[in-house]
Amino acid sequence: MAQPGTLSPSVGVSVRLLTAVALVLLVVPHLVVVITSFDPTSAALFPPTGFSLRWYINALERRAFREALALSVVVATTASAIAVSAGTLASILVVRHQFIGRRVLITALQLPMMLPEVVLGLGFLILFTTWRMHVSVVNILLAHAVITMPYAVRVITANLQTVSPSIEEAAHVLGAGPLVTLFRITLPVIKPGIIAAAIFSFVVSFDNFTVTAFLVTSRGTLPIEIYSYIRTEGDPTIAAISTLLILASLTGVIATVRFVGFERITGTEGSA
Amino acid sequence: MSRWILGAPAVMLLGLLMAAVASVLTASLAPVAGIPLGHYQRFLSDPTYFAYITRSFRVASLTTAGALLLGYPVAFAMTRVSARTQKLLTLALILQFFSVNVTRIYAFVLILGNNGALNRSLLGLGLIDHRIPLIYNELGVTIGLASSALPFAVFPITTVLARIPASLREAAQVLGAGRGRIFWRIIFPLSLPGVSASAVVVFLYSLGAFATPLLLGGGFVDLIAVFSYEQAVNLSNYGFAAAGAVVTLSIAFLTVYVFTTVMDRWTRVA
Repeated sequence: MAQPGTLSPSVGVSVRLLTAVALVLLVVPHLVVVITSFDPTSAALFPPTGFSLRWYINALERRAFREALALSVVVATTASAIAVSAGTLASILVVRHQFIGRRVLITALQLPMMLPEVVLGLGFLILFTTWRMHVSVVNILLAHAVITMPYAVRVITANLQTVSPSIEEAAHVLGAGPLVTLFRITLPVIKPGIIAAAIFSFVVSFDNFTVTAFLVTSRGTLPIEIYSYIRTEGDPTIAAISTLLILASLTGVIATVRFVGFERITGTEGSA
Repeated sequence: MSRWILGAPAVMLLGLLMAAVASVLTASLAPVAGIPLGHYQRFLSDPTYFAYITRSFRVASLTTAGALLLGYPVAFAMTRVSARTQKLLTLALILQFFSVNVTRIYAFVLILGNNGALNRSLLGLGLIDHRIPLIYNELGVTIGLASSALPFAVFPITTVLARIPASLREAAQVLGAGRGRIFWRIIFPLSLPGVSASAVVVFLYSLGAFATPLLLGGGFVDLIAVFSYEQAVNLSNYGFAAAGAVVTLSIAFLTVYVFTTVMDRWTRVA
C-alpha cells in the first residue's frame, strides 16, 4: 500500500465528495434499519414516531426465527469445520509439496467461488435428487462445505506462504513423524490463518441465500426465513433482527481485524 | 505426510462440485419428447424466456457502470487519504461483506419503497410533489446490486492504484503537469487493469443475482437465477431450468472473455 501523504497530501474536493457519497451509501442503510427497528408502529415508516422494543420481543419470541437461527449456526459451524479441515490439508499440499497437477489443483480449489451460485444451487438440487438424498439439512451442509472451502484455502494458503518451511524441516531432522510435525508445528504456526478461515467460512455459509434456497424443503436457514417474512409481513421485526445481525457482524469484523489485519482481508498487501 | 491423505478431503468436495455441474449440463441436454436439445430450442425461441437474457444483461451492465462510477473514487481516495480515514473506509467496506445480504436488501426496501425514507423525505422537503417509483423496477434492483457489489469494485482498483510508483507522479509534477492532467494522463490509464478486473467481478456477480431481484424487483425484474429457481423448485422442470442458466452464463463468459481481451490489448497500447 502506498504511504498516503508521502508526496502531495492534497486531495481534490471532488474525490472527498464522492468518497463521502460512497460512505453514505454504505452506512446509511444500516442506520435506517437500526432506527426503524425501534418504531412502535407496524408500518415500518422512517423516521419512526416513537420508541418501542416490541419488534425485538416479537423477533425473539417467534419459534420460526429461533429454529432458523439454530439451524443456521449448526450448518455454518459444521460446514466451516469441514471446509477449514479439508482446506488446511489441501493448502499444506499445494504450498509445501511439488507434484504433477499442482497448478490444476490450485485452480480447482478456487472453482466453487468462480462459478455462479445459480449453477451450484441447481446442480446440487439435481444431483441430490438423482442420488435420492432427501435430508435437506445434510444437503445444505454439504453444499455449504463446498462453497466455503475456497475462502478457507485462500486465507490459509496466504498464511502458510509467509511461514518458512525450515521449522518443519527441523522437526523432521530431529525425528518427529509427519503427524507430530502437523499437529505440533505446522498447525500451531498457522493458527491465525485457520481462525480467520473459520470466521470467513462461517460468514459465507451463514449469509448464503441462493444455493440454500434451491435445497430447502421445510425448515429454512435464517436468511431464508427472513426473506419469507419480508414477503408476507411488513412490520419492523426484520429491522430488529437486522440490527442484532449488524451487531454480530461488527463483532465478527473486529475479531477478524484483530486476528489477520486489514491487509490480508482486502488483498491490498501489494505484490508480495 | 502422504500427499494422498492431504489432498483427499478437498478432492472429495471438489468431486461433489463437478458432479453438480455435470448434472446441470446433462439435464439441460436431455431431449424433450424426442426433440434433441429441446430445452434449448424452447428457451431461445420464446420471446418470454429470451427476455430473461436481455433483462439480466441490461441490469448487470447498469450495475457494473454504477458500482465502478462510485467504486473508483473510493479506491482512489483510499490511496490518498490519511491512514485513519483509510481504515474507516475499509471497515465500512468489510462490514458490507460480513453483513447478511438479505437484511441489507431489506434496508433498501425501507429506503426506496413508495412509502420509504427517501420518498417521504423528498415529499416533506417539497422537492417532489408525487412519489417516485424507486423500487419494483430495474432502477431499484440496480441500486441494491451496485451497493452490494461496491466492495468487489473497490478492492481490485485499490490494489492496482497502490502499485503505481509515486515517482511517476513526481516526474509529471516536476515537468509542470497539473493534478487533473496527472490523473487523466498517468494514473487513470495505469489503473485500467484494475478497472477491468472490477468490472468482470461485478458483472458476473450481478448477472447471477437472486435475492436482490426477488425483493427489490417484486416480480417485475426477474433475472436468470429467478427463472431457474422457479422452473426447478416450483415446477420440477430441471432440464429447462438448466438450459436457461447454461445459455445465459455461456453468453456471459463469452462477453467477459471478449471484454478482457480487448481491455488487455488496449491498455498495452496505451
